[in-house]
Amino acid sequence: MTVTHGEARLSSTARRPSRPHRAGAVARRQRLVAYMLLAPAVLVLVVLAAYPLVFSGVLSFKVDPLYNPDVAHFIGWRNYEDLFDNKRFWKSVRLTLTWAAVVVTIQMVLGFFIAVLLDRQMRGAGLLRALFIIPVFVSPIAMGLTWRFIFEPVSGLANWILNTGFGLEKLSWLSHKDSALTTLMIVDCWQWTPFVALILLAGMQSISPEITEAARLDRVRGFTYYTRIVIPLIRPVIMVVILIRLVDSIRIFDLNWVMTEGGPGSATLMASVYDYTIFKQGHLGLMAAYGFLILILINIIVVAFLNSLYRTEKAARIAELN
Amino acid sequence: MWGMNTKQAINLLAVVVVILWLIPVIWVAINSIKPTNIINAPIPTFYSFTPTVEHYIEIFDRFQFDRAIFNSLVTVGVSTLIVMILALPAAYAVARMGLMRGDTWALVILSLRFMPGVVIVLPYFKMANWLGIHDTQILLIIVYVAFGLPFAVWILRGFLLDLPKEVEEAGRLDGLGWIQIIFRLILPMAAPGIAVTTIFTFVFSWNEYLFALFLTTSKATTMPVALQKTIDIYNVLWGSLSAGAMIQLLPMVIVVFLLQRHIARGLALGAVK
Amino acid sequence: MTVSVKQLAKQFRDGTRAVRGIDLDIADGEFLTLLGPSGCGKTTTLRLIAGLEEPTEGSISINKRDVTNIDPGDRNVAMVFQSYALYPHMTALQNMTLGLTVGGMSKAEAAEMARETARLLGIEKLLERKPAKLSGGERQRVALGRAMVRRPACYLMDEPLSNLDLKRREHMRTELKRLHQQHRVTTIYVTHDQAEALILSDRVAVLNEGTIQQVADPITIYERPANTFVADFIGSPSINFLNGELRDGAAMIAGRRLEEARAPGSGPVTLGVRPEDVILEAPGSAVIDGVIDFTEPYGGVVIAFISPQNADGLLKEREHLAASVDVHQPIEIGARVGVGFRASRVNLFDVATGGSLLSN
Repeated sequence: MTVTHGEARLSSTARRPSRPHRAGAVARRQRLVAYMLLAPAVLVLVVLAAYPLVFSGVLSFKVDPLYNPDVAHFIGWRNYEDLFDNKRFWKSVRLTLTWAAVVVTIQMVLGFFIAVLLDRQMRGAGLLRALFIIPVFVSPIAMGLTWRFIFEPVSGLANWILNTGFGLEKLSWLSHKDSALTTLMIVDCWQWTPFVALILLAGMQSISPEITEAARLDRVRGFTYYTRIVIPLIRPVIMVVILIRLVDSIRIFDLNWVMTEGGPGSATLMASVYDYTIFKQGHLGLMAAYGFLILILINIIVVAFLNSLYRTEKAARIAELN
Repeated sequence: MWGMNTKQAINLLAVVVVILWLIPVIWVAINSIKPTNIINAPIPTFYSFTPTVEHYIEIFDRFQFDRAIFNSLVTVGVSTLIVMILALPAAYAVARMGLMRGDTWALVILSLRFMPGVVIVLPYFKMANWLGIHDTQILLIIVYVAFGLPFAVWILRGFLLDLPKEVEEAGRLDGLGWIQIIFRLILPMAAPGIAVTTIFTFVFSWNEYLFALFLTTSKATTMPVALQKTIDIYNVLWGSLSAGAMIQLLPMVIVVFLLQRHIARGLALGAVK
Repeated sequence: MTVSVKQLAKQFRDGTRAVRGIDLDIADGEFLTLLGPSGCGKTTTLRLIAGLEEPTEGSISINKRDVTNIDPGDRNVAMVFQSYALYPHMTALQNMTLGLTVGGMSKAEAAEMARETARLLGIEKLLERKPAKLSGGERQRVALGRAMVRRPACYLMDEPLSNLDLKRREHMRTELKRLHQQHRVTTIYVTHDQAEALILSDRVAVLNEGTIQQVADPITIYERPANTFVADFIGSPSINFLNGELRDGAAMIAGRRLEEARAPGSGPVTLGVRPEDVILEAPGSAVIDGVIDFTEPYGGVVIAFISPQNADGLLKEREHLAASVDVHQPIEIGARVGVGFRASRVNLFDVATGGSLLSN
């Protein structure tokens, strides 16, 4: 065994000025492998998703009748101009945004309360959660059609409950232009509130028990516990859920189409269904143009959302430092 | 309230909320075995009828549900398999391999999920006509891969980020290559995450309607489109609808029951990481 | 097998310079500990040697082979992680054999080797269990077994005992020492626990802010620290630093000359005195006088904290002088005592640089 008295270096600076980070051979190899692993997925996405996007973009500058493809030709911004001049287009945009704002708000609030309700130690809690998540996984088509049956004005379950159970007047639900949108909202909230609730619940359950116990010792309870401890801690989860639900609400098609086809009249004619009716009329270029506008709208929302998320996060960190 | 304390009262409330929430699903199940005349009677009933399987027979006889089931199984099964094979290495690369701006990649990939279906469906429609593959299972498989892959990568990434990094490092020191690390360490360790991601991918395509509506007419029609034919301008067969809906719902319900705990956690992980 | 590290530096992408030019030569069979406070770069150094991080600068050789750009799996080193990092889906046996079978060994042969190692560690009965079914101490042994079974050129251990409770930690510490003395495999060990470092090591390298402060055997590290950082970091309770003066080759405190505390030169000097080298005497008879403010019992000894009287500016940074007193020696809080020093064991440091002035 060699025991040497080591040299003592007192200055803590390295002898040579250090260069900035530079990838060495191992890191380069690793990065190469990483790109190889990522490549198939990216390739598939580029071909299957990005390419159609470009194609659609190009198509939006053309006239391209479905039933007479030979006359297709470029017309510049005409499709977009036609849309902007169309009152029904603007109505569908307003309707879609209203729809998204309302259903997401209801689902978040209701979902949060139900998450609180389910966030407890009790026998059968797992079973309860499993049952509650079922609506998320059932097909909007199957359930949308079933809801139509439930909302049937004469023999439907909904009116029977209102009338026989509560002695209330029967409602016209989907068949009247004033109530159709609200009815659609009920169904959408029925399907998606469990989704919101269960993700928030998972977020709540990831809060460490020590924090909960510390809060209890500090006598932070009930409402204050949720507003001051839980919500700030699960904020990232809340934000992502809002984002996902917002985007999905704007894109809504399935429920809208099978339950009302946009009607009665144009009372529930939201963006995607409106776009589909354009397709059925055969105006492929116009359809592509509207589709693109929906895409841009969604992207604006996503970017604005992520921006504000990161900005507040940053502000919070700065506040912490001070 | 009957000597209950607050805690028990809240527990009871939770149970009541969940049961009320499930009434529509229960309603489908009941209607699927109700005789037609009772279904159409002005006064709905939950129990006073003689159960029948006539609707289950009708949905196969009149609406070729056997073919729809087969088409759904093939397109959804194959596309889910392809998605998972592509997504796992990609998610690993994004989550773990020090790829520059791994988060950016994840965000780009996720943003593809946000594309409205109506933007994407048209090029597929044209491509299908051009290649002569309209109304085929291959076409739907392609579309479902394109739409399932981004979300799968995103969720898997959350799960992978949650695994302890040291275990992989131990594997590297034991001489495992990247492929071996993925197959011998990551795959078994991330099994719940992979199961959840598979479920999500499967469910998305299983319930998918817009693409199926656009891109199939009869041969390759999947269950959601077939279901809709029970309630259209030619038919209003609530019984058949309910029977078909049950056939479509049941496998999902079973799977959700088995994986309930992991499902919510998986989504939360994807959100936070 | 030897391990040699030259001018090793690591700057992370966020700009943190974790390691700033480290030179180390580890002899065959040596047990070397990297010791330092958290953030000193000890774990990064270990991970650089393992190949889990890539150096920004410098080179690493194992057994005279340059491995700087070689994958961790090809370096023939084994690591024991703080979290153990056992493969959760594999049994203890599979955990131990994976590295062998990947290297091309037959399953039967690998299992035989694993069993042999398991016997050595007393874990034969646990081999069929998965990590989730093992206690913390058992996991630790399996992790150790996984490293040992590969017969690597070198063990790298990253705080392997820190997740154990005190009793088990002491036990495993003895066990590690025994295993090392039996097999004499080169070991690089990272810890922030100085007791562990002093007990286990042939040599200790003390790190601070990414640089090595001193490399020496445990006794030298304790008795002849190379600078005030090492002197302060090693030893519990901490060393006393006193302001003194060098005159004619010996140190002066409060006007008294410590004849045996010798160093060349003159001018202000920092004296380092371990608590056990502070001697309590009758008031007025020693170097200075002081009052015992409070005490801390340590079992066999009691540490008396003394505030010096009429000696302003004697103590550096702290307000009390710590003195280690035998538990049987009667001391009273509030009592006035005389304080003397075992001058031959006093360390002298340069006031400006903190470096030791003693010639070794």
